[in-house]
Amino acid sequence: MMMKRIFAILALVAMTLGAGIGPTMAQADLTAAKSQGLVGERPDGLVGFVADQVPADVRAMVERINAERKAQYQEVAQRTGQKLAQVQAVAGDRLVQATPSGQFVMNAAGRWVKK
Amino acid sequence: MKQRTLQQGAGLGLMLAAVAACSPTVKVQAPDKPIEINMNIRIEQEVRVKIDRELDDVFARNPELFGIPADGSTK
Repeated sequence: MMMKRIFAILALVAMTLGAGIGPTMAQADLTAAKSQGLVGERPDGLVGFVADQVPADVRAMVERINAERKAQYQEVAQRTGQKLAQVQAVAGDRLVQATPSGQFVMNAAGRWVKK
Repeated sequence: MKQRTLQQGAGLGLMLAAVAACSPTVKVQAPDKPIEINMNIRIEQEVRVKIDRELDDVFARNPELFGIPADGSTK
Protein backbone atom coordinates (compact mmCIF):
# COMPACT_ATOMS: atom_id res chain seq x y z
CA MET A 1 0.00 0.00 0.00
CA MET A 2 2.73 2.38 1.09
CA MET A 3 4.94 1.31 -1.83
CA LYS A 4 2.11 1.87 -4.26
CA ARG A 5 1.63 5.42 -3.01
CA ILE A 6 5.34 6.18 -3.29
CA PHE A 7 5.37 4.88 -6.85
CA ALA A 8 2.35 7.01 -7.70
CA ILE A 9 4.07 10.13 -6.34
CA LEU A 10 7.29 9.32 -8.21
CA ALA A 11 5.35 8.84 -11.43
CA LEU A 12 3.59 12.15 -10.91
CA VAL A 13 6.88 13.98 -10.28
CA ALA A 14 8.39 12.43 -13.40
CA MET A 15 5.37 13.46 -15.46
CA THR A 16 5.46 17.03 -14.13
CA LEU A 17 9.18 17.34 -14.86
CA GLY A 18 8.70 15.92 -18.33
CA ALA A 19 5.85 18.28 -19.12
CA GLY A 20 7.73 21.26 -17.73
CA ILE A 21 10.93 20.77 -19.63
CA GLY A 22 9.43 19.27 -22.74
CA PRO A 23 11.32 17.65 -25.57
CA THR A 24 14.65 19.24 -26.34
CA MET A 25 14.55 20.40 -29.91
CA ALA A 26 17.80 20.89 -31.76
CA GLN A 27 16.40 24.08 -33.15
CA ALA A 28 13.18 25.44 -31.79
CA ASP A 29 10.46 26.10 -34.32
CA LEU A 30 7.79 28.73 -33.71
CA THR A 31 4.96 26.71 -35.20
CA ALA A 32 5.94 23.66 -33.15
CA ALA A 33 6.27 25.67 -29.92
CA LYS A 34 2.83 27.19 -30.52
CA SER A 35 1.16 23.87 -31.22
CA GLN A 36 2.77 22.44 -28.08
CA GLY A 37 1.14 25.22 -26.04
CA LEU A 38 4.48 26.64 -24.89
CA VAL A 39 4.05 30.03 -26.52
CA GLY A 40 1.20 32.11 -27.89
CA GLU A 41 0.36 35.33 -29.71
CA ARG A 42 -0.12 38.52 -27.69
CA PRO A 43 -2.31 41.52 -28.62
CA ASP A 44 0.83 43.64 -29.05
CA GLY A 45 2.01 41.59 -32.02
CA LEU A 46 4.68 39.71 -30.08
CA VAL A 47 4.92 36.14 -28.85
CA GLY A 48 4.77 35.32 -25.13
CA PHE A 49 5.33 32.32 -22.90
CA VAL A 50 2.19 30.41 -22.00
CA ALA A 51 4.00 27.76 -19.94
CA ASP A 52 5.86 28.56 -16.70
CA GLN A 53 8.82 26.53 -17.84
CA VAL A 54 10.10 26.54 -21.37
CA PRO A 55 13.19 24.90 -22.83
CA ALA A 56 16.12 27.28 -23.25
CA ASP A 57 16.08 26.95 -27.03
CA VAL A 58 12.41 27.93 -27.21
CA ARG A 59 13.08 30.90 -24.95
CA ALA A 60 16.00 31.99 -27.12
CA MET A 61 13.86 31.62 -30.24
CA VAL A 62 11.04 33.73 -28.77
CA GLU A 63 13.46 36.50 -27.81
CA ARG A 64 15.01 36.50 -31.27
CA ILE A 65 11.62 36.52 -32.98
CA ASN A 66 10.31 39.34 -30.81
CA ALA A 67 13.42 41.45 -31.46
CA GLU A 68 13.06 40.91 -35.21
CA ARG A 69 9.31 41.53 -35.14
CA LYS A 70 9.84 44.79 -33.24
CA ALA A 71 12.35 45.93 -35.86
CA GLN A 72 9.81 45.16 -38.60
CA TYR A 73 7.02 47.01 -36.78
CA GLN A 74 9.33 49.96 -36.27
CA GLU A 75 9.97 50.08 -40.01
CA VAL A 76 6.25 49.93 -40.78
CA ALA A 77 5.66 52.75 -38.28
CA GLN A 78 8.28 54.85 -40.01
CA ARG A 79 7.02 54.08 -43.52
CA THR A 80 3.41 54.90 -42.63
CA GLY A 81 4.19 57.74 -40.23
CA GLN A 82 2.11 56.05 -37.53
CA LYS A 83 2.82 55.27 -33.91
CA LEU A 84 4.60 51.99 -33.16
CA ALA A 85 1.87 51.02 -30.66
CA GLN A 86 -0.74 51.30 -33.41
CA VAL A 87 1.26 49.11 -35.77
CA GLN A 88 1.67 46.54 -32.99
CA ALA A 89 -2.05 46.64 -32.20
CA VAL A 90 -3.01 45.97 -35.83
CA ALA A 91 -0.39 43.23 -36.16
CA GLY A 92 -1.48 41.65 -32.87
CA ASP A 93 -5.10 41.67 -33.95
CA ARG A 94 -4.26 39.96 -37.24
CA LEU A 95 -1.90 37.39 -35.70
CA VAL A 96 -4.40 36.50 -32.96
CA GLN A 97 -7.10 36.09 -35.61
CA ALA A 98 -4.79 33.94 -37.73
CA THR A 99 -4.04 31.62 -34.81
CA PRO A 100 -5.63 28.20 -35.39
CA SER A 101 -8.04 26.91 -32.75
CA GLY A 102 -6.44 24.83 -30.03
CA GLN A 103 -3.53 27.25 -29.65
CA PHE A 104 -3.16 29.97 -27.04
CA VAL A 105 -3.71 33.69 -27.51
CA MET A 106 -3.57 36.47 -24.92
CA ASN A 107 -6.73 38.49 -24.38
CA ALA A 108 -6.89 42.20 -23.59
CA ALA A 109 -6.82 41.46 -19.84
CA GLY A 110 -3.45 39.73 -20.23
CA ARG A 111 -4.75 36.20 -19.74
CA TRP A 112 -3.92 33.24 -21.95
CA VAL A 113 -6.97 31.69 -23.53
CA LYS A 114 -7.23 28.66 -25.79
CA LYS A 115 -8.78 29.51 -29.11
CA MET B 1 19.12 49.83 -41.54
CA LYS B 2 18.93 46.27 -42.83
CA GLN B 3 22.65 45.80 -42.16
CA ARG B 4 22.29 47.04 -38.59
CA THR B 5 19.38 44.72 -37.92
CA LEU B 6 21.43 41.80 -39.22
CA GLN B 7 24.41 42.71 -37.04
CA GLN B 8 22.21 43.13 -33.99
CA GLY B 9 20.56 39.81 -34.78
CA ALA B 10 23.92 38.08 -35.07
CA GLY B 11 25.14 39.59 -31.79
CA LEU B 12 21.96 38.61 -30.01
CA GLY B 13 22.20 35.12 -31.50
CA LEU B 14 25.72 34.67 -30.13
CA MET B 15 24.69 35.92 -26.70
CA LEU B 16 21.69 33.64 -26.63
CA ALA B 17 23.79 30.70 -27.76
CA ALA B 18 26.22 31.38 -24.91
CA VAL B 19 23.39 31.60 -22.39
CA ALA B 20 21.76 28.47 -23.76
CA ALA B 21 25.06 26.60 -23.50
CA CYS B 22 25.34 27.06 -19.72
CA SER B 23 21.74 26.48 -18.76
CA PRO B 24 19.78 23.74 -20.49
CA THR B 25 16.50 24.91 -18.95
CA VAL B 26 15.54 28.43 -18.02
CA LYS B 27 12.72 28.81 -15.57
CA VAL B 28 10.40 31.63 -16.44
CA GLN B 29 8.90 32.88 -13.23
CA ALA B 30 5.18 33.35 -13.56
CA PRO B 31 4.26 36.83 -12.34
CA ASP B 32 1.83 37.11 -9.40
CA LYS B 33 -0.40 39.45 -11.33
CA PRO B 34 -1.45 38.80 -14.93
CA ILE B 35 0.60 40.72 -17.45
CA GLU B 36 -1.33 43.81 -18.43
CA ILE B 37 -0.90 44.68 -22.05
CA ASN B 38 -2.92 47.77 -22.66
CA MET B 39 -3.93 47.62 -26.27
CA ASN B 40 -7.07 49.69 -26.08
CA ILE B 41 -5.84 51.95 -28.83
CA ARG B 42 -8.26 53.69 -31.10
CA ILE B 43 -7.22 53.15 -34.67
CA GLU B 44 -8.84 55.20 -37.42
CA GLN B 45 -10.05 53.13 -40.37
CA GLU B 46 -7.81 55.00 -42.79
CA VAL B 47 -4.75 54.39 -40.61
CA ARG B 48 -5.63 50.74 -40.19
CA VAL B 49 -5.83 50.20 -43.96
CA LYS B 50 -2.45 51.84 -44.41
CA ILE B 51 -0.82 49.69 -41.71
CA ASP B 52 -2.61 46.54 -42.94
CA ARG B 53 -1.17 46.98 -46.42
CA GLU B 54 2.38 47.33 -45.08
CA LEU B 55 1.89 44.34 -42.78
CA ASP B 56 0.76 42.21 -45.73
CA ASP B 57 4.25 42.64 -47.19
CA VAL B 58 6.02 42.12 -43.87
CA PHE B 59 4.08 38.91 -43.11
CA ALA B 60 4.61 37.57 -46.61
CA ARG B 61 8.34 38.31 -46.56
CA ASN B 62 8.96 36.80 -43.11
CA PRO B 63 6.84 33.64 -42.75
CA GLU B 64 9.22 32.13 -40.18
CA LEU B 65 8.93 35.24 -38.01
CA PHE B 66 5.15 35.24 -37.84
CA GLY B 67 4.42 31.53 -38.14
CA ILE B 68 1.72 31.97 -40.71
CA PRO B 69 1.17 30.08 -43.97
CA ALA B 70 2.94 31.34 -47.06
CA ASP B 71 -0.33 32.48 -48.64
CA GLY B 72 -0.41 35.21 -45.98
CA SER B 73 -4.18 35.11 -45.54
CA THR B 74 -4.45 36.46 -42.02
CA LYS B 75 -7.34 38.82 -42.59
